[in-house]
Amino acid sequence: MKSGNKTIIGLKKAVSSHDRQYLQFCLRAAFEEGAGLNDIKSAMISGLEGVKARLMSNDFSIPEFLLCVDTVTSGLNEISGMKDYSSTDKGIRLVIGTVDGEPHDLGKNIIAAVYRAAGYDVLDLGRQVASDLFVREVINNDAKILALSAMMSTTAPAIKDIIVEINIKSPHTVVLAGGACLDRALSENYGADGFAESAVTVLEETQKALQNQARTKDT
Amino acid sequence: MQFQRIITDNINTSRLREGIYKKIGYGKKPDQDRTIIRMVDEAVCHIKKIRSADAIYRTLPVTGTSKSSVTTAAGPASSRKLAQFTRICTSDPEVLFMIITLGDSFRSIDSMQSTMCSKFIVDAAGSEMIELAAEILMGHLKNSPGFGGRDISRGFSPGYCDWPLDGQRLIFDVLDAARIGVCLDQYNIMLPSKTISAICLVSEKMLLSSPCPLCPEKSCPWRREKQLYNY
Repeated sequence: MKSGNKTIIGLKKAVSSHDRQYLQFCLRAAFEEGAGLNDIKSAMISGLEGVKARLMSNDFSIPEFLLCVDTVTSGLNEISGMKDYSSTDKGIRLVIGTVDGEPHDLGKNIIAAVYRAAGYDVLDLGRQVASDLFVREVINNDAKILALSAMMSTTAPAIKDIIVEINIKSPHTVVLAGGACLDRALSENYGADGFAESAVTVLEETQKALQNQARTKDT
Repeated sequence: MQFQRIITDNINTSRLREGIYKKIGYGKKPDQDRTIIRMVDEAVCHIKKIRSADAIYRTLPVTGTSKSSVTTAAGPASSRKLAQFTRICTSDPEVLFMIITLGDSFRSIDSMQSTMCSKFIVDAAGSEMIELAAEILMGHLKNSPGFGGRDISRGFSPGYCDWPLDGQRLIFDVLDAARIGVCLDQYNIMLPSKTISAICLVSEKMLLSSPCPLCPEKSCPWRREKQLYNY
């Protein structure tokens, strides 16, 4: 059964105002109305879309954006335990981790949370991940996106080696690179399809990289 | 080698709070969300429960400088900028090696955080706290009899500017870091987190407190704007 428009608006509003109590209230209302889990999930995710626009126009700060991400995460956690959850749209499969030798994972964890909250199907390999493990997991999970994080100039070159392997073994996978020591020029030099400068731009950049890849395929 | 416990109880709460806001992306007078204000206040409370930071330090005379390194009995620190900086010292400089850490206490605070936002804010609080503790240590050293009122430059850390990260080995060769519970992993990363390692130059008089004003890279994110010695 379709959920009421009011409940959908409520879910979106709960996310954009990062009000977890109100989200709980709206979730209960949605369950009572017999709303589908897919509709609930999409409502929360689209709530985050609105926030993203405000963030891009500097109307929102990163901490506020993270509060919204945390709100969606709590909602997704709530519904993920339900028996019909496995039948919901999984989203695009994405593998993420910090490269070999890179222990700084706060940024990667934030980006992984942003991706999850935006509806991606995230496989987080953690930190200091060996290059061959990235390649193996991308292939085994048929991941459409690989997101690599490196904060230090000493660990960043691993990104280049991983991309070379991915281009050979899983050429349809889009690779995004991010981290304090990188900029767009260096990411491109490493062969990345996109540069994830921050949590603010990562979703936009991912969309662009996916579109570019689709365009390349078409031509 | 000297050991120093820095009592962090007296760190000014407003300054700590201001530093956290700056680190999480707000200006000096932020227009924050009420939830963020509460979370920053909670982070301040948590981080202030770490009552002290432990430091070890030692000075060694400079035995030689080349265009690209500064050498002590422990070996060379390979940095062109640091070598350039020794030339503005008015007397034969010494190198101060130091490590300061919040210890394991930060990890337990960090692991208590259940949301991305609180982790982000607590991480900023830990960074601000250790930076303020390092500032207290430098002030203490500057006024201690062992330094005889000499000037001490700002810290120069491996992995920053043009000093490669493997410079950590030099600092850890000089100092018994295990005494304050700090170690290096195979990638030269210090454990636990919220630890600072650095070397400083010590000289009778220094016109600058860092080599930044001598450096042409104006857009460097780590550039220290103040041109004159200002400890």
